[in-house]
Amino acid sequence: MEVSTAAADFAARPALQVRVRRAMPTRPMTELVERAQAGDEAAFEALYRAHLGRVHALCLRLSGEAQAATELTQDVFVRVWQALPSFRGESAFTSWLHRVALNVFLGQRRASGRRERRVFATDEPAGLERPGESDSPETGLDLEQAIAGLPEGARLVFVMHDVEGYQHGEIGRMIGIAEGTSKAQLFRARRLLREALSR
Amino acid sequence: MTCAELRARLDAYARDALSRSEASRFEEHLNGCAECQAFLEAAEPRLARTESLARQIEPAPDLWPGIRSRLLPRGAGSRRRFLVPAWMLAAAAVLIVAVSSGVTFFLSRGEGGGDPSGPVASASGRAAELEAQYASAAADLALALEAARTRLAPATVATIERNLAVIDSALAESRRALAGDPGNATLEQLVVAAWRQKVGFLRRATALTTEL
Repeated sequence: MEVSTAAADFAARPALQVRVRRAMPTRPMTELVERAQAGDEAAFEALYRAHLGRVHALCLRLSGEAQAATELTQDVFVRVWQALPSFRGESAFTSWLHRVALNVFLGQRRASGRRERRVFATDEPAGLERPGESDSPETGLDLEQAIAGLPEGARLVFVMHDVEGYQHGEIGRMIGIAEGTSKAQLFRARRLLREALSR
Repeated sequence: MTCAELRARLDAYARDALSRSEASRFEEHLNGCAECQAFLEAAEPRLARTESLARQIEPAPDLWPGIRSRLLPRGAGSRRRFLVPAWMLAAAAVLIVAVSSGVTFFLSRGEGGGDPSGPVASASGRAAELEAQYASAAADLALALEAARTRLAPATVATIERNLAVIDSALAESRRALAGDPGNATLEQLVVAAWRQKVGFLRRATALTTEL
């Protein structure tokens, strides 16, 4: 994955109201984690600033809506603060953080009881119905828009599998669906994305 | 549904143009057919452009003030830990199988269409509320268990994962049944019962890690 070109184009899209920057690790992550676990809010803020971009990118793709992604990102970091004492460092902090983000999203998804529906990451949904007509067809921007336009179930599996690298068995356990259903949703997502990108 | 029938319906499935029961049969066949799974993977391989996605996208507003205002002092939400012997894991598995069997019984009485990953839209307000609470608790416990899994023996981890898969299967089954029979109070109770089993099992598994 690249940070620069696709991210810059994505940030330049006014309707999406996002900006991109690199994470700025200021001190050893393990030290920050340990201090945050002990209740040091300044250390936790440093962790937040170092990981905000990646967490928000995940939340944006999971939710498909800019405003919902902002709220989800906040909820994720609040949950991270609550759950930090249980983190013992056996896995990478980033992996654990992403797992927290996924679990917060999945918990809210179950709680909200929403039916699968199409959602758009912009106030101008008509502009996303043909993502391939974007001014910058060679960047990741079109793909971001196309992902946002996927049905929720397909988008969730696509983000977890193709973007985050989870396996179908794990996805099935986390979402509460059979492994084959996860594969079917991934097929649906990829096909719809290819169609959207080739228009 | 046969392999040929599934492959003839790929486009319709992708476009969500199948009826709920037909989509359910599509997924059921796929769950048991490795050849069709491979066929789907070959038909739609990973998009190369996925690599171009930005790793980081920062939100326009600074979210920290809002987050900081919600941080409770450490220990404010801590839970009591339960020390439970390993044999209770086996007992929990037995209960889980019982729940799964109950759902299967209901499914056998009628068609269980619908999207098992979807919401329990028909659940009563109380059932939906309970489900949300259990889902939240399960998410928290799963996190704690994930953080501690490397301290467990591989065989124990395998047992836990196997039982969780049974629970999740029962949960998906009960939710599918409820989607096909909206308003069925017994099925609503089974959904809640499956969640209760999941939370109970996760709590016991997490407690097991604290004994080590």
